[in-house]
Amino acid sequence: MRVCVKFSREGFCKYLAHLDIQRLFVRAIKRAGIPAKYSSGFNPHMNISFAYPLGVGIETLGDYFEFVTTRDIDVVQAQKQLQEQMPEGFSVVAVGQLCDTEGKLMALTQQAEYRLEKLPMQFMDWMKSFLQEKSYHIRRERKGKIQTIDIRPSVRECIFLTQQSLCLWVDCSSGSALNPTLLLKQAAEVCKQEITAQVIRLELYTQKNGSMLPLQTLFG
Amino acid sequence: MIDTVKLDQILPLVEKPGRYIGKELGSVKKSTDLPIRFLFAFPDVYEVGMSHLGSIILYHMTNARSDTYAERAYAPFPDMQEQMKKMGIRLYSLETYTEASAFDIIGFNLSYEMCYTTVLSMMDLAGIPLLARERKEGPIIMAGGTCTYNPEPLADFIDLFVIGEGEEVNHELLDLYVRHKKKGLNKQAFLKDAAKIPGIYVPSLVQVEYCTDGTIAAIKGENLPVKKRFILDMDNAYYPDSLIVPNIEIVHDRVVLEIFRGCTRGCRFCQAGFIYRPVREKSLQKLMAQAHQLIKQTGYDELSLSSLSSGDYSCIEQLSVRLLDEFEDQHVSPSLPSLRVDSFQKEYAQKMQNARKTGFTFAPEAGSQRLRDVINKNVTEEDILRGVGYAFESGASTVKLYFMMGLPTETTKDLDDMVELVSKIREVYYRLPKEQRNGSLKINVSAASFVPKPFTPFQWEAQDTTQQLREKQNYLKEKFRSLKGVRFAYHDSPISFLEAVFARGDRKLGKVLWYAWQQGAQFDSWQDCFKMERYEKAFELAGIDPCFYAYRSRDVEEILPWDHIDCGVTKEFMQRELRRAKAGKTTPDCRQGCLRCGFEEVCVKK
Repeated sequence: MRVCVKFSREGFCKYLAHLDIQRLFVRAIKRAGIPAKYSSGFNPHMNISFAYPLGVGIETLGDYFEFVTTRDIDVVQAQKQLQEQMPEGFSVVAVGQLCDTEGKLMALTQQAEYRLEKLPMQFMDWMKSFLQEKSYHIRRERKGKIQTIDIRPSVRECIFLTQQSLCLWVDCSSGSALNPTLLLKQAAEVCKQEITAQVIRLELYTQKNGSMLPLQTLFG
Repeated sequence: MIDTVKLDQILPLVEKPGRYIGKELGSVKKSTDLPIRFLFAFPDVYEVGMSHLGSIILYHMTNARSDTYAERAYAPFPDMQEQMKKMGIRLYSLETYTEASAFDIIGFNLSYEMCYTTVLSMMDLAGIPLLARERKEGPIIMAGGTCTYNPEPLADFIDLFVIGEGEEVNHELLDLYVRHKKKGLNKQAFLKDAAKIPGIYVPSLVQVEYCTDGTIAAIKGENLPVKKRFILDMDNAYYPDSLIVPNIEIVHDRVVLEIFRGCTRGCRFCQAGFIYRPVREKSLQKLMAQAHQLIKQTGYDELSLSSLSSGDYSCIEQLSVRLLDEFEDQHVSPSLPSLRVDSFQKEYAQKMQNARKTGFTFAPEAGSQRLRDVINKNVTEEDILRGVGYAFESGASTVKLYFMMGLPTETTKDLDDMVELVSKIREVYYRLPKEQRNGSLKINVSAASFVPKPFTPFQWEAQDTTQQLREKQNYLKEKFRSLKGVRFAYHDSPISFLEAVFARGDRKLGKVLWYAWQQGAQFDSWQDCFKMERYEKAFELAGIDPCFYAYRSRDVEEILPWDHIDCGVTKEFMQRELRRAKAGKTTPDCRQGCLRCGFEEVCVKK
């Protein structure tokens, strides 16, 4: 059975890296006694694959991974069992079944919603002017090559919540993706000052019948 | 509690911030309002400290007390230290982010000599005065672990040392602390009473007098010698039924099952082989129960055995077979010793081949039979060649070989024999029919520099000079170059030199440590952090000649800096072993007959 897990991580656990989280969930699934399928071969291992890896320092309320079990499981029960095995800071929001005909989570994920908090005034101003632009080119180094990319189209929507916080919808598909910390870095360069903020990923979205829906809708 | 908002600001700036956050499954949460708050402090990074089984056992054992909350702190790496200092954040515990200075007791683990400066650096980061005599209040600083068998270089800094295993004595000490705290703690009075507990050493209550040549004239004090503590019954000794599951990858990221303590082989260079006597095994049933419990609780997919020589465990075959059998469908790979495998039934030999192996590692230690006899490494060339032969036949094409350079009586001939032995091992591989060989042969030869250690028969011996060791390294490097597939690695000789100095050092070296730390020394076992110049400067400032400690051979009558510590093996036995070494005579494994090392009564009682 194809199983999907929605989880959150809050507080200092945001400082764990993607591989740490992966290891952490593999062990938790094992401790919970959920019959995960192992790869065959010389060194069998449990395959869990994430919808969209989470960067170090970012909290999340809605991240996802999937894995396959050797037999059908009760997803409500599994949610409870897995929750009991979570270290402080992590929470299992929901467990559900994914339809076999559906593509891999990673391929389905198209947008991510973030909330940025504790932002300085300067960033808010920079952001407002950024949103006015049609394109915004930055130079970055990738594998030793310097390339120019336009980051403006990746920012789909921005809602200013308070004087210090905003919500962002950005692309996170294989074709186009943007890490919101890149915006902080850009603003810092322009304003010539250090800009830090609390970054929380709220949800990941997939396109269905023309509209963006949270990944969770895939498993009800 | 430290300011976590500030901590949140610096964590994005450091490498591996996961080291500094705690919050692991299995870490203990308790009321902070208990009579004793105890901080286990490990003078190395999180990944190293969390892999240290002994301190994890003691952590859980201490937390099993209703009157104590034990927490952990590891040494922040220099990049983190810098940020902490900038922000005014002091050393804190991972469980409750409490400042180290707010604890009742801080217990350091001393596993190797090169961690001493890191101890000082942690105390400084905690805002605690380094010198014991300057600390009228604040936490009691104690230390335990392998290095405390010669605690003298740290005598200026540590209030009390635990000599030996902590399972019983730590409780006695904490009971005493509670009694003293109830009536208002007076540090001096507490230390005086603590010194009466067997196994507790309070250096400030012991005076050392010196001769004009720098050797020791007398060691004076009450309750001397301090006898090492050890537990007799491993099955009923405390062992945690849950472990902390780290959130980041640590060095030994697996269930580690301690199968026995002590060793009967009596290799003359090996300190562990003497100080951890007598041999005490856990029963097979106990081990299997512990293995199942810990795998279930942690979710680890690897399990390894811990002891000084796992192949010597009396039930190693049954244990291996049962571990392989019972964990097969749980996707757990046990790492098992590979040496005695040829005595297994065929069916299991096959299984063993599929199991993850610790790798084929052989430790001849010395190249010639003559020198192996001197060090009492009772293994013959035939044994070694048979062992690698089996490894090759079972599909291995990489083997690791451990040697030492600079052993007592070593000559160029012994080095030549080392090369010769490696060359014979190559021949074993190439004698295999081509279709049985698994790729091209790789032999990783590692040669450590011999460091004479206290409580070994070689404790009176001189170390080779750095110059001599370098020459030997170059000699071997040249010789091994012509052997295809052989990779030769050696340990840096300045570090071995310092190890020799501090391993057999006296109290005067406290000054050196202090100056070295002032010069910036810490994390000295980390190649990127270590700088010999700092120590050179420190010896100069302290007016101390390090060669006195490393290069001088001692008379057996000389009073040694650790003579007031009793590890249980008698000095007479050590001297007898030294004489036999010099005569090139081996001493058999004491399972074949008691050698009266000092533990004969304990062993008989068992």
